[in-house]
Amino acid sequence: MGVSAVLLQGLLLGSLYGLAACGLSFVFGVMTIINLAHAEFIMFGAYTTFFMAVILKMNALLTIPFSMVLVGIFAIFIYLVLIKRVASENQLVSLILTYAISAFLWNFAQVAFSSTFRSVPFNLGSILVFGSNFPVNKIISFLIIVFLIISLHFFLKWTDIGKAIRAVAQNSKIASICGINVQQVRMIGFSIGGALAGVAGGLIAIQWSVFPLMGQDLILKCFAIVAIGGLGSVPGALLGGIILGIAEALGTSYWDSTMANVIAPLLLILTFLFLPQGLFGLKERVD
Amino acid sequence: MTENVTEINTSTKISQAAKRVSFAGGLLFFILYVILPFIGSAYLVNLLLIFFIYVAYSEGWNIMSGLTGYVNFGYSIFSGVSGYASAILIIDLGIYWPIAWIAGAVFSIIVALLLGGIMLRLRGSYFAIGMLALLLGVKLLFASKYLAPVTRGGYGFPFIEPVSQTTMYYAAGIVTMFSIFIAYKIITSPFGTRLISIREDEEAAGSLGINATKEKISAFAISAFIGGIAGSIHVAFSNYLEPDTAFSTQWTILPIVMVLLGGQGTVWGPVIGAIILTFIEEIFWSYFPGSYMMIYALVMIFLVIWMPKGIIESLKDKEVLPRTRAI
Repeated sequence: MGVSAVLLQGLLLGSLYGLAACGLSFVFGVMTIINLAHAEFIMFGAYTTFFMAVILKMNALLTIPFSMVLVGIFAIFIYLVLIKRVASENQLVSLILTYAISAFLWNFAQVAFSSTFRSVPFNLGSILVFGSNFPVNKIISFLIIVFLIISLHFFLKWTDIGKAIRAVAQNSKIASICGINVQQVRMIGFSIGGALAGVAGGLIAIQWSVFPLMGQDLILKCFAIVAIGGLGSVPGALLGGIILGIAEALGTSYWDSTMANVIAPLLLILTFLFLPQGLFGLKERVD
Repeated sequence: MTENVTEINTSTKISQAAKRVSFAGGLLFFILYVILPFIGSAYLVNLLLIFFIYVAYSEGWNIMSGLTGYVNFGYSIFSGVSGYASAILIIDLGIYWPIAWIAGAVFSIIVALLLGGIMLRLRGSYFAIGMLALLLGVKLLFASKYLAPVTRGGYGFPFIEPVSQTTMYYAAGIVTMFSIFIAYKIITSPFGTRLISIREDEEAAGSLGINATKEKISAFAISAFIGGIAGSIHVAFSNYLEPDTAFSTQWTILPIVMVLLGGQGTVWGPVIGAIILTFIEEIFWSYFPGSYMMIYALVMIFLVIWMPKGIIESLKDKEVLPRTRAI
């Protein structure tokens, strides 16, 4: 494959990684919780798409909104029942909690859905770009992601809820003094993070396969991306995703795919050591 | 004045009583432990062997994460590395098994010192996530083709170690008693106090002249040794060596739940947690073989929200147990 083709593949891959990491970064920005169960939310979205596309025989693209809404609602449930109770404690408690939630979810998936790799039928053929064949569904997924991120940006900038979310992310104490219901905003923020995970899961289901342990690989890539981009920064997550995607595409082409998997944990640790605030990281929070 | 003296006498009596109870309890267990293979079934020996390994894992995790508050999500690295090292030493080099097991644990210490020097400079959450990443990285490394000539790669290999289950049982018992003893010694020592101060307020500890990184690395290395030697026995007992099981997150989740349940930072907390959870595991394993990890995760969720201090600390709060760090 020529270099341009590899770069394009990295871009398409990276956009998906970026969307997956976006939700994680967003949730951290709004509530300083590192949601280790984020990748299992993605898995939830993926299984939703799978079941709707295969069992209900829906068009795979149409299942994406369902994944988004379902995981968003599930996130609200998780927040109200579990996360809200430890939100005031130190960060490590919520880390252990979300780790436990993640462990529960992927073990549940193994029991309920078995470890078989599932795939979602969605093939629109491929087109020739830069001398290589690219599946159309990956390009469509890229377009969906771009549309979503732009919508999210305008949502945060122009709607009242969006402004409330940004206010809480910047300084929750003063936001509450201004009359914003911080608990409610946090719940909505967590739900949006879940919804983004749901869409990412659906798109992953279309492009790759669905299986209970898919979260375990993904969560590390998400962390690597969020570390590179900066915790709390959505554009940072997207950029970090693209960086990782391109790095992995180059790694797979010029080395081999197993070692390309090592890039994410390696980047994560290097970033923690040498650039802990990431590229666009939030400065020290005032509250 | 008289009241103060009486109070001092009472609290000394309580610590002495606590120490006596610990000693008596330990003696009773020791006698039972020695005679069990002669009076009990093979199933019971097997069960206790697993229990001992779990207690050792939990005490090892507790020494690092329970005391310093630095949650080690990559604990399986130590048991896996030691398990691999000891198995390879026994199978490929024919080394006598106790030496191989301890050599494996020493290898774990070296790994801990190398990794710890890097990872322990990170703050709490970053350390936790970084260790999670490292675990995956190490698993990939052991499964990769670069180490395959030594580790046999991703598929692993079956083997029989030249040790009978009864011998493993006795060895595991010794390792467990050793780990509880080390935990007791550390927790009741100034070293333990320094570690706890890191958990409570690292910056304040630093201002008192405590070199937090050095203390953390020491605790990390001790944790690695205990986890390592328990891992050697565990791998010997499993008769199959592959990266997915040796470095499975199960050997991290289990100690975490046991320590959370029993009480982090306490001597006997991990033991209590291990007793309860081994019991639960045996029940669930017979009836719901696939689901017991799910149950563990639920227990972990419950504990973290409603009982984060664990059983022993809660009992101490309710004055049922004396407020001494020896327990």
